Amino acid sequence: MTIASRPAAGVLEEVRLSIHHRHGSRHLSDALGSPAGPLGALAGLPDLGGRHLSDLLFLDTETTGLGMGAGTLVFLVGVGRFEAGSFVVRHFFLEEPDREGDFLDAVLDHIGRAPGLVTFNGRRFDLPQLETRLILNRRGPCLPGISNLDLLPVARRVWKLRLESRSLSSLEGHVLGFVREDDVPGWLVPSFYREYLLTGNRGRLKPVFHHNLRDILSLVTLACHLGAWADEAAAGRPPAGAHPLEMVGLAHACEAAGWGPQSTACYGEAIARGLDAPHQHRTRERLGRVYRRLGQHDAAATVWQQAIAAGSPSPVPYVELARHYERVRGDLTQALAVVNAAIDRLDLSSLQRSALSRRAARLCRRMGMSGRQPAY
Amino acid sequence: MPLQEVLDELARGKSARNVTCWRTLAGRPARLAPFPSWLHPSLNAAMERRGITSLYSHQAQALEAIARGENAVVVTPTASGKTLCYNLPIVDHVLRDGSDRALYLFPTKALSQDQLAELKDLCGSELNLKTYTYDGDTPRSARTAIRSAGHIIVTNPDMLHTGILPHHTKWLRLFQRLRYVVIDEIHQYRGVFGSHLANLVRRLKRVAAFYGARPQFILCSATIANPAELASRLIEEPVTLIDESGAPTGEKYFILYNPPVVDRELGIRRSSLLEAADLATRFLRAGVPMLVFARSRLATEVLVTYLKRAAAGILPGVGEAAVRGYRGGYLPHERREIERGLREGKIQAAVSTSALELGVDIGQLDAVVMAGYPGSIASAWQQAGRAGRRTGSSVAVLIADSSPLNQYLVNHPDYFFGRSPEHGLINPDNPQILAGHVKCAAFELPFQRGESLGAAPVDPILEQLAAAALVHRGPERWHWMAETYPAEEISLRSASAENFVIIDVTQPTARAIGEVDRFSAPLLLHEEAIYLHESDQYQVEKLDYPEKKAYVRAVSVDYYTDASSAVSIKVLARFQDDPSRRPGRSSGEVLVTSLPTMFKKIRFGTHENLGSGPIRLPEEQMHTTAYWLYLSEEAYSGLRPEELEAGLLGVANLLVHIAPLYLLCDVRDIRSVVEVRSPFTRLPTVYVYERYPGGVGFADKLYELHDELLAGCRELSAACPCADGCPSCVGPASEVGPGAKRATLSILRAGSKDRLRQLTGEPRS
Repeated sequence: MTIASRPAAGVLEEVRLSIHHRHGSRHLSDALGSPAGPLGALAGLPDLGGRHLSDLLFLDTETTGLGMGAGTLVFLVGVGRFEAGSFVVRHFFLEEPDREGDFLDAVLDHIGRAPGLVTFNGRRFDLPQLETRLILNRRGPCLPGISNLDLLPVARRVWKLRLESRSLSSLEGHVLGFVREDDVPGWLVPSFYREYLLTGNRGRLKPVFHHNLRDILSLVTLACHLGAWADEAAAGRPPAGAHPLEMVGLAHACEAAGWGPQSTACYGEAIARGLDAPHQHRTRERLGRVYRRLGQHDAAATVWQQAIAAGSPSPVPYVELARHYERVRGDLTQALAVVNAAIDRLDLSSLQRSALSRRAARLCRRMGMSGRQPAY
Repeated sequence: MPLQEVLDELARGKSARNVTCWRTLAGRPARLAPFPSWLHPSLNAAMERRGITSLYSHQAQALEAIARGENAVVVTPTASGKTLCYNLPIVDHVLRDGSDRALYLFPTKALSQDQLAELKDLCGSELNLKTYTYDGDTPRSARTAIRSAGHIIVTNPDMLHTGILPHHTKWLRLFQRLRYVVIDEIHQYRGVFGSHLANLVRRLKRVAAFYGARPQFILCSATIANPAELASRLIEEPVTLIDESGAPTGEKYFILYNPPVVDRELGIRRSSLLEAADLATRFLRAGVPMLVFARSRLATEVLVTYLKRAAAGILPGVGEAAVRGYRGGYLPHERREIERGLREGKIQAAVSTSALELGVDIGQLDAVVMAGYPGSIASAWQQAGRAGRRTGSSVAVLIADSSPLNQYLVNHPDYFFGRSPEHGLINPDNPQILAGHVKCAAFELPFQRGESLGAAPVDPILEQLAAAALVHRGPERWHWMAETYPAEEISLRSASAENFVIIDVTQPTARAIGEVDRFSAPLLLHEEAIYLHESDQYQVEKLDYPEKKAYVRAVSVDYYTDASSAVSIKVLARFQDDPSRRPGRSSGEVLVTSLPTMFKKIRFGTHENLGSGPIRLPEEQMHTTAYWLYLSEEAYSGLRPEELEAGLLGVANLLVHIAPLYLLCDVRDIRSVVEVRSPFTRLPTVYVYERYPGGVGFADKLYELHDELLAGCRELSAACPCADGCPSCVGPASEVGPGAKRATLSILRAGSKDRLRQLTGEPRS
């Protein structure tokens, strides 16, 4: 690792790392061969096809307040980029708030031509905050044109069941194999900049620059990790290393991105690898519904039957299966039998019970067992 | 007709002697004017669809002024079609240029909702106009669309303060094309709230100017003495006044009613609540739709209880459901339901605090009963305006309670019915209020060196903020640098930012039940004090003075506590002085020091003293402004020292109760201190000081109104039937001392005789 001071206009510090640098359980070079398209698609960015993760810029900002608003300054923008055998992190620093315009010009100049940015919560925090600064300095709004691959929404879905917290530091510890030592907690960062403004002593900010550098390196390895899973999931191959609960999360993410078939593969694999009963029941409900939406009615029916056979305490599989018999197969008798089974077997709330009874009554009428018209 | 029957009974029955005044306000036909030729054809069509074929004269005047590009303030009564004055020109403008924007400010969320309904009704579905409310109830998911697409944003000052201005970059589309700002109900923005609002307008204009917009302002007010002055102080620009209503009104009776005296010696009258309940019951029996206004939440609930009970007996089948309470603590959907019930006639009577006084649409009612004077003449007219139909008669009855202010009013009907003398006063440059908004403004946009906030220079304030490390001083500009979010720390509505929180620890999970401002806290929240909250009693167990928290526990005792403090006042600077008056008058800056001393336990009902205890709390100091009057030696030479003191206390009591009439402020906004020999004037002196640090302009106004105030005090005490002081005039003799009434009158008359001599040029004897 080499550190250069003031290597370019607006850049206070440039940190150059070998691509073989190891961060947690990965090497930075993992990004070189990773396609960006599938992860982009999973995050709602369709235009990254044909790119590699190493073509993108990795961005993280530090601000003077944890909230948002026009009075919160962005005082540090760290941008990491792969350049000819190295990974270079440049730190743009706001030395004097009066010269914010120059600072922002330098940042814009650097990120403006990139095919895309990778951030963690950039959609909700870093980019709106930068945009606010640009508008205040009469240079914006101009960021909506930049593709932003925000890893947070994807990470939230993937690790929703597996991890209690989906913060970057939690992901580092549980997923990326990286443990931070002597790090500045995020909530303390603003006070470092205040102290700098009061004393003019830049040396005190060293821990903040280091904090930002580690955030950016974690962004790279997190993108590689998710990128690899997205790539396999896109090809219909549920990733081998994923825990069943991570697999369910990945399936959610696929479902949210509109990847129906890929999500069924992941849901199915998660069930096959073994889930505890409550998760198993909930996962089958989601899987069955995806099949139904995809028009794969027989596959859906099979899932509902499996759910019932596995002793699901919820009326959902029964109702869905009854619907299947009624609407797809036209088999009203079978549909009624399923509804009655639910009424007999399950421990129901009064609301659920009356809904099922109404359904049963309606089936009876349709079968001609009563001459009355349906109530609706 | 049923209304007439109740009125006949009131005029001739045994309660007739309690009526101190019966005014008939003649109905007035409409003064109409045609729609202006430039009005957009689709608006013409929309108006026709609603059956409106012409405008009232004041609406036409407003439209013309606004079309000329002037700021306008419209002052007309309830239900005179005020909202069309701004909705027509603004909708017209937006129909011509869909990228222009307007911002509407209403003091409450309920009014915003009403306004939105009105706009939607006006625009219908065929006009492509997007209007939204933006307040604490707006779902997050809807906010982005509202920010970028809304043509008209309806919000309240608090939301503008904490939700919009600090995030103005997200409101780019609004600010870049901000063409109109509507501020309705400006009579609400007086005193502290108004001083905050004026600064909020300064911030709004500053942010708009950053985006190159310079909005035109349209303001509306209920009747006050100085609407144009208040409006132009709020926006710091000239305004055109439109105050002649062209709307028709039906005949209206306005009745002032004084409950009978039940104890002449102590000056005690029958409770205004009971009288209100009796009268409302008569209306209820006659089937007259009505509103009853009470002064407090507690009084509201008490009246609801009485009237529901009465309704159950009178209206079989409908019964209790015909009477509803309506106050601030109710949930929005409950309020909507009650408003609808009143409009549709399903509810016959609603009992309300002043929450309904504002322009919420409840249709037209036949009767209004006010249990107690609502605190200002403007409010009284607003509440009375709730009764009234375009045709047919209606009635408003004001029932006095026994306070001096109420007694003065019911006995001075000419005063009451004369032009409202209340002034909406604000002081945007109050140092504390201004400093708070400078922080907010620095957060919103860096200040250039030498820049001002509205008319106020701010560099000295920014120097102080820099010393406190809240802003950074760059070579050219000041930048906010603290982590805090200044708008969150400043409440626009509370007098002091540093309130004491009252925490109920009766249950295992403690909960906050109320707040008390810092200057009242030592007297209300000392340890062992009985704190009353919604008629429940709590005893203060512990007062954590540094943390501003009082821990209380529910109790049931038969006494309340009354604390006293030694208040001393020191004149720091005299701004104005006029010794030629008798008594002399001054105004200036003072330091008020208050040291709580002891408290008494007083039994309910009998008022017997059950014991007392000391209060050990530090003294509180406050810099504020004051008005004071001082007696010349001749004026008190005939009085013994204890009579002089009683007389000064009497004058002070009268002043504090009468002054709010002229100031449009609350009785609690001012306090008095008397000094038999003031170290400053070296003469007997009565000080009236403002309770908000720095003052909001009341002191200067009192100085101006000196002669009128004293005349009012004189009349009130002379006319009071009590023997020697009562709560309705100079105060009960037991508190102010024996002979108080005579001494007070002697002091006040000396003044008037001197005044007369001055006027007639007669030499002094």
